[in-house]
Amino acid sequence: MIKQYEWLIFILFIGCYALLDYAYFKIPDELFANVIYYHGVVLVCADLINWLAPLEQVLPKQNHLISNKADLEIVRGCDGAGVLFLLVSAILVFPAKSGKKLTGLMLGMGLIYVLNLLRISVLYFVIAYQAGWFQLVHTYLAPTLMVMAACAYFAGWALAAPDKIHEPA
Amino acid sequence: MNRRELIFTMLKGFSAWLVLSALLGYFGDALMTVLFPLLKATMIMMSPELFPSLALVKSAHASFDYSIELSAWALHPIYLNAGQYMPTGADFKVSAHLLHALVPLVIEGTILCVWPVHCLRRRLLLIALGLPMAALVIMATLPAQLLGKLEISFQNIALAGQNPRPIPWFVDWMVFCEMGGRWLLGIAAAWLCIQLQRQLPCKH
Repeated sequence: MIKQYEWLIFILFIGCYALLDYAYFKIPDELFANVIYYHGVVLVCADLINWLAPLEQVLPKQNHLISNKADLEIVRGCDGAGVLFLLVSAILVFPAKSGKKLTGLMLGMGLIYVLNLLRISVLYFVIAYQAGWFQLVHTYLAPTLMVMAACAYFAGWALAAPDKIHEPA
Repeated sequence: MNRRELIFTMLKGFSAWLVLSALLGYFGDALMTVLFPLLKATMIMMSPELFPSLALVKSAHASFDYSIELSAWALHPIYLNAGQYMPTGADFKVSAHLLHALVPLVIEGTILCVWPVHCLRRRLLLIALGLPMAALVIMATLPAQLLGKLEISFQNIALAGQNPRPIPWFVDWMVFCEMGGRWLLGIAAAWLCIQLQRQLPCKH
């Protein structure tokens, strides 16, 4: 069944991604900086870094992780949204039952959120101790590995969703 | 595909990513230099008021990376708002990171290296199709990124006066690509290569 509708599924995938991206840009910057990033990312990363390395004494301030060694600013796009939109779009358009999709979405969003917290924490240590590596990690290693992780998760989920809906007739 | 094959595919994907990363680390600058004429032609089409020139510059502060530097000359006066303009011959510079520009290529390449195919010939066909497709993806993203950065610097001045110049379409496209659209393009390019490969005959 999937083969017959591959093009449609693919177009829906791109359309779904574009819609999520459009909706994302409707969220005001202030809401991101003062609420979403502060409570959802900065506070958690500060706790994580201070737990791993108590001497860092990282302070969360709005969308910044601040210590005497680094000031890491979380801006729009640094929240893993791009990878999340790819994964959500892929799961939404893949022919599977609603329950499987819901499970896939919940676990997938959790995975991307955790990976992004790890990415930001690693970036903090990179900027604090090996600033020359920041561009490599920020613009290459982290995005490619996160996209690969999302692809692997999607492949695993799609295989573990053996609904009759995509079995050959 | 069973669970064991899936794990094997994931390991293969990670290995492909490592190999591609190493290859681009060594040959990425040469590859980008080969694409410069195409990138310049794309930029001239996108912004005819500028004459672009591209160069690769070793980043002073970043390890393992080059900057792709765009120098652009204004061929005509560029009006920013009712009271300000950039004169003919004005020179502008912006840059982008080479590795950042190559991310969609790595995503596309990794997918093509692990996608299940019947034989080695099919794999080689996929990779052969992937190369021009990767060039197209870079042409679709990098010129918009460089010109978009330049336009943002124009807009910063333009918005200070009356009747600021309109924001060109490629700024929105740049924002879309920078948000993750370039990853989508890498995946889409791989998918198109897979579809093309299925249509083409291949002797066993």
